[in-house]
Amino acid sequence: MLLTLLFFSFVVRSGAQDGYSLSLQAAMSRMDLFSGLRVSRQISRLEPAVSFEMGINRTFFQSRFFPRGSVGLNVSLIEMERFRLGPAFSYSYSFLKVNKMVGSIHQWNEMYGGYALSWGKTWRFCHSAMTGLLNERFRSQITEKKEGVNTLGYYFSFGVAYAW
Amino acid sequence: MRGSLIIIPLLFILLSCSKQKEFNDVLVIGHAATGLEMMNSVYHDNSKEAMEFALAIEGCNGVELDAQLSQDGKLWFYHDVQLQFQTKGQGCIPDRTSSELSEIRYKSVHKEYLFSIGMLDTLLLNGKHLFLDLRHYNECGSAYVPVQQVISQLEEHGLKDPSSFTVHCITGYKGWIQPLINAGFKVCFSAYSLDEVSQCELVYPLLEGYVVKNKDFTGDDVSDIQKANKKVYIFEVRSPKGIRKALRKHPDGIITDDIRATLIEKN
Repeated sequence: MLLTLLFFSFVVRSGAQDGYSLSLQAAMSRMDLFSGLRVSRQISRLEPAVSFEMGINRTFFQSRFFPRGSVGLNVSLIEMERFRLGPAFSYSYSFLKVNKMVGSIHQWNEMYGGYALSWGKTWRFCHSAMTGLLNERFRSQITEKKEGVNTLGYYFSFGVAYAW
Repeated sequence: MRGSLIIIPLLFILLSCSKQKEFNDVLVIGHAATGLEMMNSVYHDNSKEAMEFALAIEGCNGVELDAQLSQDGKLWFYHDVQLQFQTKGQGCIPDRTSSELSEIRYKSVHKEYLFSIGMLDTLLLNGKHLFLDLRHYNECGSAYVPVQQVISQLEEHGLKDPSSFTVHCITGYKGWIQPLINAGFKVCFSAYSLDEVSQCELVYPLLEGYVVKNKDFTGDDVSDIQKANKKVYIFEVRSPKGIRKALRKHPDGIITDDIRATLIEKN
């Protein structure tokens, strides 16, 4: 309880300037290389974000739509004039139609934690590295039911953001 | 000049609209179950979990596993020579007994146990293809593996002409072809050139076919082999470009490192 109060007082006392940022990012994950847009809002030291990306190999080299949507939260624990660093958390969902003949769709749910950093003021260089649970669900041709498998996933991203 | 400016884009459009080749009859086989050293593999190659995962994917027609004989004459599925490369064990499969091997786990996220022929759930293989890459040489002991022991293992575990699935034995050693054929197995030779195929054609007319590297054989080579009523299975197929290239050769099957990407290209 005390820790929670300390945490929130720390978060609220930040002198950071609130505002939005839009970033163009590229990322490597277990399932594909992704590229897309991320929108975030700085509220004190907290930075909630949503992003939408496309799997590069599947979408562009194999002409199969592979979208990935995420919600996340970055916390700037270390905040200097131009530099921010802190823990980051995200939840992502993505799906891919693997076999068109039988309409087989694979779905991935990812819950990750890691760190995020950014450098710059109006134009920022952003990077995050996260790992955590990756769950893949698809219809098994053995049991003819939807089944899921869990494994360790990861997500490394680099991007350029414009803040206003 | 103006004519060519119109013709070139028209040709481009016409070629883009040409019907994609049908690959429905090309089998999709998981290399070492779900691929060797693949970033997107959930489980370690040649593990029981990987085999179950691969066979569950809709459209996957079977798996290929690397089989090595242990010291006590049992077949274990493991790709590398040294156990320490991929597992917490030491030495080689042919130096270890089954009781020792059954305790060894992979150094992977899921820490899967080593998988042996005795643990094979043949019910999962119903209607599917099982390719067994049989290792003929004990690199740690510098000696050839006795083929009769391998045949006994396959027979003991019901892999000789099973009714509900198909077993294909892969060997890279010509000395094993005839004994395996004589024992009633479908045998594919791991060939590296068309010359090697031509030589085998003369000596081993009852071979089922050939397992070949994607880079070593052209579409014409594949077609020539098929004209002689032999099957061709292509391996070392990993990237979308490589998968596409392999499919266009129209082999009988692709032993792929990326099942999902291959199914996308195939369908």
